[in-house]
Amino acid sequence: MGVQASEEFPVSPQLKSSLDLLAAPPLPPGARERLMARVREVTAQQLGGVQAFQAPAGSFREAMEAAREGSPYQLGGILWLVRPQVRLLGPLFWLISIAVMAAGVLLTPLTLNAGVWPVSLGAVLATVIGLAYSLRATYYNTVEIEHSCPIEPAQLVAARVSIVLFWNIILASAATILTMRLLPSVLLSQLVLSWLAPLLFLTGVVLWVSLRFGSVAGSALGLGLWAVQLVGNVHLGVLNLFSPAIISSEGLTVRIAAMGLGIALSLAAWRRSSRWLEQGPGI
Amino acid sequence: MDDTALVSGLIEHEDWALVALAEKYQGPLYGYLFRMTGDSYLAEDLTQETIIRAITGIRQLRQDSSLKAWLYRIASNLAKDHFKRASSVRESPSDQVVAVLDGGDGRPGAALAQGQRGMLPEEVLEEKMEAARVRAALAALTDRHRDVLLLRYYEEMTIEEITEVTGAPMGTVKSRLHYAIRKLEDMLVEEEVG
Repeated sequence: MGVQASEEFPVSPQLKSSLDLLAAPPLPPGARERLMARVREVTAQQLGGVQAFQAPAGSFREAMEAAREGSPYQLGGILWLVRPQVRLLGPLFWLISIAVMAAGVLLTPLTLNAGVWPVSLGAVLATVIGLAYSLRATYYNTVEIEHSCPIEPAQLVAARVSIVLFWNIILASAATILTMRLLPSVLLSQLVLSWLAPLLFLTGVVLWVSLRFGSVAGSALGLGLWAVQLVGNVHLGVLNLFSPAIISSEGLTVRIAAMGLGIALSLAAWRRSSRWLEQGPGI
Repeated sequence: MDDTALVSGLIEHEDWALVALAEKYQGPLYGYLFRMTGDSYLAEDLTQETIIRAITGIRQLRQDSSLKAWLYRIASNLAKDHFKRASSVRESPSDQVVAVLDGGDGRPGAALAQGQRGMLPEEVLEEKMEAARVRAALAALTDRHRDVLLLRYYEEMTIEEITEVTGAPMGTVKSRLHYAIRKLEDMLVEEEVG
């Protein structure tokens, strides 16, 4: 702070240090929104009721303004952000996840006696890859652009994870219905648990690690755990979350615990996401 | 963003132009008006009024004029009008104590918030007292002298820009700036030495 051409108008160091004490405070919270609202109100009056300075309907800015009106943790704000985030994911994301899930359904009848079912593997794999893709900004510098948006990183994270999670749950549910048609002998609860438990568990792990240490670490760990479950399914016993057969009550307990842990990790990561992303991913 | 594009957008009532104007100028104008008035509520109101007047009268801005200088000119005039209207009202000593403790911005707890950045309460109070002394010294200047000093020192404007804001000739601006600096040196530095 301070005058540049001090040669022309010299200020003594003592006066400079005194003047520097008179720092202006930052804009009060909500000042920007109050200004916008007042300008729109005044110009509308001036133009005889015609709305001016309005964000185009359906634009990203309209969504952001609606989102920032509420708390970063309010459902309304997050839902407003889902729509523009859906556009951000791109057609490849939707096509690949559908292809992976369809392959899982088609391959499952051929591998009925295997330790894991492709439909379960597909659902979880699509979710892990989807999370890595949607959180890739924590690795690339685009996260800086996101930080410059007047919304909390927690809102963006929640919006993106919601899209990936709900999209894959919808796909996996559809795949489950198709698999039940192909294999009527399979128990619905076993089939659902064989993908839902690892899906929620790995979502929690990937989200937590991605936000804390970057999306490369998160997706690598997610894929690693997925591969361990796949390769070591015979040796993992009750810890094999993909297993279609729940032999004992311990198996059921492990699945419920895995789902609980996944949800708890997701919530913990989301609550801390604004702070972590401001510090920058640890990569 | 280029101010010419900004002005065109404002004339067309484009949403992005309003957003860009607010992002570029609301904070600096608020800082300027806060230093002029020492009251954050008033500074916010005047900032809002400045921007509204600028937008509603944007067609009056000449093509060769600077948007920045125009905005500061409106802000400066609004602050001076406010001082004229409020000239009969004097702050009581107790108001000044509250202002010092609250950081001078009228928002309760500002001093406490500053204390949270790792300063001891005594240090916060000492800094606030010194800031109040600077504010009092600035308040003792005439509007014209205070204005050029604030524009030059805090807003880092060139003499040409200040000339455009104040409407005073360049020589007058320079002489006002010299006088304001000398006067503040007298009031703040020599008082300290004494």
